Amino acid sequence: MTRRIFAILVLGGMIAAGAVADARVERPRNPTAPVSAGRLDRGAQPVAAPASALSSTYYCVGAMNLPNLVNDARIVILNTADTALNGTVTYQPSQGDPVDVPVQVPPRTRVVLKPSAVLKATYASATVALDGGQAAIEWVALGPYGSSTIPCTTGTSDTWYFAEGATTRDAIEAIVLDNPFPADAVVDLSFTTEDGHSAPEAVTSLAVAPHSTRVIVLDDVVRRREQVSTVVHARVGRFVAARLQLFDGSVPGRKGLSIALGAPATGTRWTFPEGYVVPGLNEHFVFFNPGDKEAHVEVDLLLEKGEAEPLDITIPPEGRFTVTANQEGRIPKGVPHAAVVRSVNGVPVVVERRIDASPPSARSGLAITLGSQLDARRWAFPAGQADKNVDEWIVVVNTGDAPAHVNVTVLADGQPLAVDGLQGVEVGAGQRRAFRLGDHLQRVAVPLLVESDQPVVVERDMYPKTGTAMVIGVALN
Amino acid sequence: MDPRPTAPPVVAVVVVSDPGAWLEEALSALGAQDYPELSVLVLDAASPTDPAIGRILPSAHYRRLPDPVRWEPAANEVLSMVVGAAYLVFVHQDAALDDDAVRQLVEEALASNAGIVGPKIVEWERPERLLEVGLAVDKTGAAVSLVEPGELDQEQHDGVRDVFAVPATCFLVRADLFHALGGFDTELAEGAAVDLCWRAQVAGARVLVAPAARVRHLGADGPRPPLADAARSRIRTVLKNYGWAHRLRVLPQAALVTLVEALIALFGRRWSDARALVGAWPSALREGRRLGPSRRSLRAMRLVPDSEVRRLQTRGSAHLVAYLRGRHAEDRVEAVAESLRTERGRVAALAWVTLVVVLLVGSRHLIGGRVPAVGELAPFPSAGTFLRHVAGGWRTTGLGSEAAAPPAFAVLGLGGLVLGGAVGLLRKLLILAVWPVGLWGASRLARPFGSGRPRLVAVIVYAAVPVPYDALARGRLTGLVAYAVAPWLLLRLARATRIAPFDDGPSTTIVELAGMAALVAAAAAFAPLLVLVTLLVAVASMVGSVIAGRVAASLRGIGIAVAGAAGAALLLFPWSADFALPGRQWAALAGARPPIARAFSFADLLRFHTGPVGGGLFGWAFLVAAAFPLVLGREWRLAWAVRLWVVALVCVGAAWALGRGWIPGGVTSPEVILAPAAAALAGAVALGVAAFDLDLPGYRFGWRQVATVVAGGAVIAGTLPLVVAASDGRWRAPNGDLAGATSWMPTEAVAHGSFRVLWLGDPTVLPLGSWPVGPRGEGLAFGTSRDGPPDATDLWPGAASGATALIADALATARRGDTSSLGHLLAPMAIRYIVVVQRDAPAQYHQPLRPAPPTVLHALADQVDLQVRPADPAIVVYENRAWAAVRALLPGASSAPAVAPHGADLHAARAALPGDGPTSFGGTLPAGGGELLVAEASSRWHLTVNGHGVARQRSFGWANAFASPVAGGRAHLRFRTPLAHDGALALEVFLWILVLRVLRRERRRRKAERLPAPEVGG
Repeated sequence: MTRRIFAILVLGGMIAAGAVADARVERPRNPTAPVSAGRLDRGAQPVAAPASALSSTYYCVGAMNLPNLVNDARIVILNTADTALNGTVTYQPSQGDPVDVPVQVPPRTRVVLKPSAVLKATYASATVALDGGQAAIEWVALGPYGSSTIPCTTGTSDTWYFAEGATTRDAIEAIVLDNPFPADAVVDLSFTTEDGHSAPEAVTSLAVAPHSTRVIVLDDVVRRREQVSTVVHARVGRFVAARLQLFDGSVPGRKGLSIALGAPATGTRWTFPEGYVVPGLNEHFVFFNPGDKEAHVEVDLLLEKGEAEPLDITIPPEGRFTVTANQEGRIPKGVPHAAVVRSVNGVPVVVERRIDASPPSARSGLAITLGSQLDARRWAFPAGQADKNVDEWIVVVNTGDAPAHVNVTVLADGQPLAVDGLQGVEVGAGQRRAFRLGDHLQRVAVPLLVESDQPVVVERDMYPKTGTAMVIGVALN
Repeated sequence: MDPRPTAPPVVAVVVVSDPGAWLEEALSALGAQDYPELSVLVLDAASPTDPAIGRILPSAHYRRLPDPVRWEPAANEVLSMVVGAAYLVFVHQDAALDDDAVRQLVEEALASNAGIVGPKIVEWERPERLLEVGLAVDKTGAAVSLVEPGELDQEQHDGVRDVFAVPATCFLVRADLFHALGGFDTELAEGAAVDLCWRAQVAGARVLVAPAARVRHLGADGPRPPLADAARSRIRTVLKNYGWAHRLRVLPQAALVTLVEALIALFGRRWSDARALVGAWPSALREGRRLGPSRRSLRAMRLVPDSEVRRLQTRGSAHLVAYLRGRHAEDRVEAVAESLRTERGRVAALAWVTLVVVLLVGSRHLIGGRVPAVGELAPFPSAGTFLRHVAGGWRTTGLGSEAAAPPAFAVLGLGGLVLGGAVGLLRKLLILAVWPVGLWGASRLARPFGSGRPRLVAVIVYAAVPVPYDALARGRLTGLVAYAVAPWLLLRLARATRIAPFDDGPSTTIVELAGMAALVAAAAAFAPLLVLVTLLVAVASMVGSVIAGRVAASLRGIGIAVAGAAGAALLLFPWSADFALPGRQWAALAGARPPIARAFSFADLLRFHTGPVGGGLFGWAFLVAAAFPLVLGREWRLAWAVRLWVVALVCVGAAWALGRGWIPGGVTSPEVILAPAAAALAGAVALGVAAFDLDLPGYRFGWRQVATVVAGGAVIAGTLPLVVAASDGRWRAPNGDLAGATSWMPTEAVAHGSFRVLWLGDPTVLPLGSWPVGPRGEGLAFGTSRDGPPDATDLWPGAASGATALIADALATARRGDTSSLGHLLAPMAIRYIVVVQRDAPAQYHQPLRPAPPTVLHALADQVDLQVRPADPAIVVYENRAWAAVRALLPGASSAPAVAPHGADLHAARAALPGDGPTSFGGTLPAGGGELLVAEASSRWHLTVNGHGVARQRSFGWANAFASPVAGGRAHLRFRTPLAHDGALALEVFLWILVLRVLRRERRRRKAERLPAPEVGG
């Protein structure tokens, strides 16, 4: 072979090798954030900062003093770590100036704050800045309709989504906006109702002043709609948003007050540990697709007994769809179940579960709960009560492939108390189990830590005499 | 009646003035003339000693003038002393005529009816060497000899011909003409003979040179008049001898020529010459007012209009011709003129002109406007700032460090001084100079390949590759530097192998090493990665030799490259030590890696498509053309084509592997590695042309001829993207930059104290040097600047070790969600603004979007002490509410903690000790005491208040704190430059001087080699 041919072959081979390597070796996608290995993504729902955190901030939104609706409020801070946490609570009322209050939370203890002790307002939000992590905080609103518990979020967003809502004659819906930052936020609201999508000018370019709370009553904007899904988007800045939904009971079967955080992001997976369909308990799943592509979702039902075929649902762009479990043949009556919603075509959605409790059920009240987008091994519930006045349940769902073993601990004034009978409880793969705390203990204050050896989703349901409070816990790193 | 014709009487006029021993020979030569009617008149201009004329030439008429006068007034004495002569022959006292010289002159004067006839003038000692055979004079009165210095007399100038002037050494003039012209102009310090000849021509007389008459000239006339006088004399000649119309046209041209000559003198550091040339004009113009009688006199005898006289003058500038002749450029000019007479030559000339026009048109807005400060094209601070950074031994990048400034600062600082502080102009010149330097290099690279066409093609191909345009559009200064330097590197490496046709390298290895070290050092001062790229190219060339042969010779190239790189490291010391010490990061050498997800594909890199220029089908054209010598070339054409191809592919492969993360580390500017590939490709295409000339004739007609057409078409096709890219006049670079979007920041610094800005984003869009942060391959980087948008002192940031790493730690903490008060962590670092960059220019310019990872923006947005500021959509600006100035006074009893893992809210601190720094600040500390925080990471900062030193303490684990006296007072904060730094700088300067002397000596040796060798023996 001549040198020329040899050279051409070698050079051609080099080019070919480069081309093949370029085509074969996949260009890696940009690695997502650190969130280092094992850390939970805090973007979608409240996740406590790890023990190594230098500081953490929680944003609480709720009502304080709404005539005939909310009489009082509490902020419950649970420190699950071994060291004390010091910090500041900055109250941002809907009327008036912010107020700073120092706070100290001893290890493995909860502290209950009373915002009304330092300010008077109908609505308020609070920014709790602590010098460490591993804390969980909830806002509890108390009133004639019962208590409504909202976990305080650990992140802000420029967009919040609310799948459920109604502005019918028997309903009041309000969106509560909290701007914890030192600059203005300017927001636009848009709605999807049974009449389609709208973005009324009256709720466009609304300014939320720095360190303040602003309330928008939707009944003035979206009149008499049975199905209202809401998107609040900031042109400038970031904020936190919650929804107050009231049904006054004039329509049989629904009465109660629910205050809930919105979803800071859409997702492709939502888990609802609790579900139960009996007369008087009406369960609705509301699917909201705020995007511009059609979403195909599948609802897997994890029954405590038996099996059920998944539900397939299509949600149009900027559309919503409601599944009433009571009317769905595949959801058996009287069988507790969990629901896992997955977007099969990758289009993210927002899913809320609404439960209306009324006679003949033993329960009463309204609970609108956002599903969980993540599984975790540790969950905290600051505000809990298991005594003759409140029936508290812990519902655990294991969507993984391996059985999970769950321990439930009460953090009682610095001492972790393992709840008898709720240690090492097995929750099989793809199974759901519910535990009635009252069967294991009777305490007024039940700040809970639920730990599992596998990632699970844990919900706490409280049934006082009046009202219903159902929340997904605060996941701990 | 006597039938024999009588010879006209001739008087030879010799002016003696303090003559030497040679006068005897000169006069004896006059005495030996075979002309029968010759009288000799010796005019003694008051020589201090008796020249003993009577002894030497008894027949001569001797007249001693009463006063010492110059030659011209002395010669004019003949106007009153000589009567009846038909001709006058003026002879310098150190000129010896051949025996028949006078006769030859007279005979020619009679035969040609000439007014003035000059002889052939040769060297006294070596009459075989010519001195002058007439003079060429241009329109401005500048005269230059018609022969080359040291030219041998081979009868090449032996024809009688008209000339514009003859030198005063020896010439024959009709006596009546001399009388009519009034003799020499005695006001002229130089050029009186030229002026006489000029006026003679105006009067209708012919001026000839009769080479049959030979005169030996010693050149002992004494020193030439000062340049100013000579210049003034020329201007006087122009003012006097032209009519008003031509005077009006020629004077401005003469002024322009003076300006050019002055500039050339300035470039040659001949300051006094430049002053003299320009300074001659005012006095000459003043004297010109008194030229009326002379002009009238000339007007009276004018027979030839100025237009006719000008036809006899030489075109252009005689002095410029002489200057070029000194550099052998005249030969080249002659060669160019010769080539333009052929079809091929005209095509080549058209190609050159087209290339220049395209480059100028494509750069027109950059030349006439601004070069945007995108990416690494940061604006330059003042020259003084650069030099203070060099002298201070303190880097302001990051949180500050005790490190040597990049040598580029010294170059830029000195350059700014030379341009009188015009650093903006310096920046533009440096950026735009990349093209002529790079193209010149490509031309030199291809020079050994044969005729002019390979060089032309190499230049065209190298000009048309997208490398420099993409580098410019994306603001990659290091890529531009690499483009300018790459062909020179290739040339040196090729010469190092001594493989034909690159076997005419420097004389000694020492010179070779010095040259390589200097070149690599000069380039690496701006693009440090080029040191490694040089080694890569050398190794690639050796690999090519494995295929093409001569491996052993290629090893020498590697040796020279290694030694040159080592030498460059020495020349860049102490800065180079920063790259070699343990713990240093790759990013300090090559920049932070861009996101792997956006790495260029192999196809893009092969087409050099790293920006808005290039790509597409036409991007493959040069590869097709470069394949031509592989199929056609023989001998060294084929061998070098293979080597250059291997170099190109290895460089492209290295750029690809770095981009994909296959090689640890990354490179912000892939053009640094692609430029040698482009130069190699251009060389390969040029080899194709050489193969066409040398090898194609050896083949039978067939597919190779078709391949030739394909290759030629490919070269043309490959240039089309360049023509298209030229349309916008700025090579697709944006018309604005982020400096404009953040121009409000410096006012904040003035108002509230000096601060740092933290820049975050894809390193390819950051407007400063940066360090990587975050997961490997994510392509996130950060950098810092002071008081607003960055400038060139924020380039080449060095290693992010020491305290600067705390910035990365704080960012990581925020991204992990371990803090919601990032502002508190950054406050002790005096970081007031965080700018997340997503485009390298304001959004209106539609530059590519390079979004920061969403988690970065989320993490920053979730910080309660960071406030978003309105800004251009290309950036997101956060203001740190907890910030304090770089030098800030905490009032009262406050004190900063020694260690503060949670940071601190320092917004209560007040700015103190303003100043530009970087190593010295002064001001007044107010009464009341407090603690002065200095956010600089070094213990060598010292504070004095009212002349007394104040003890330093450590704050926040890395910064400095000083207790401010209760009474306050005049304070001075200073960084104490280590002595070792000054010593290292001195060593660096010494090494550069050494290397430059070696190279200068080599250059002089080569220049001397090009001159004709002197005759050996008498």
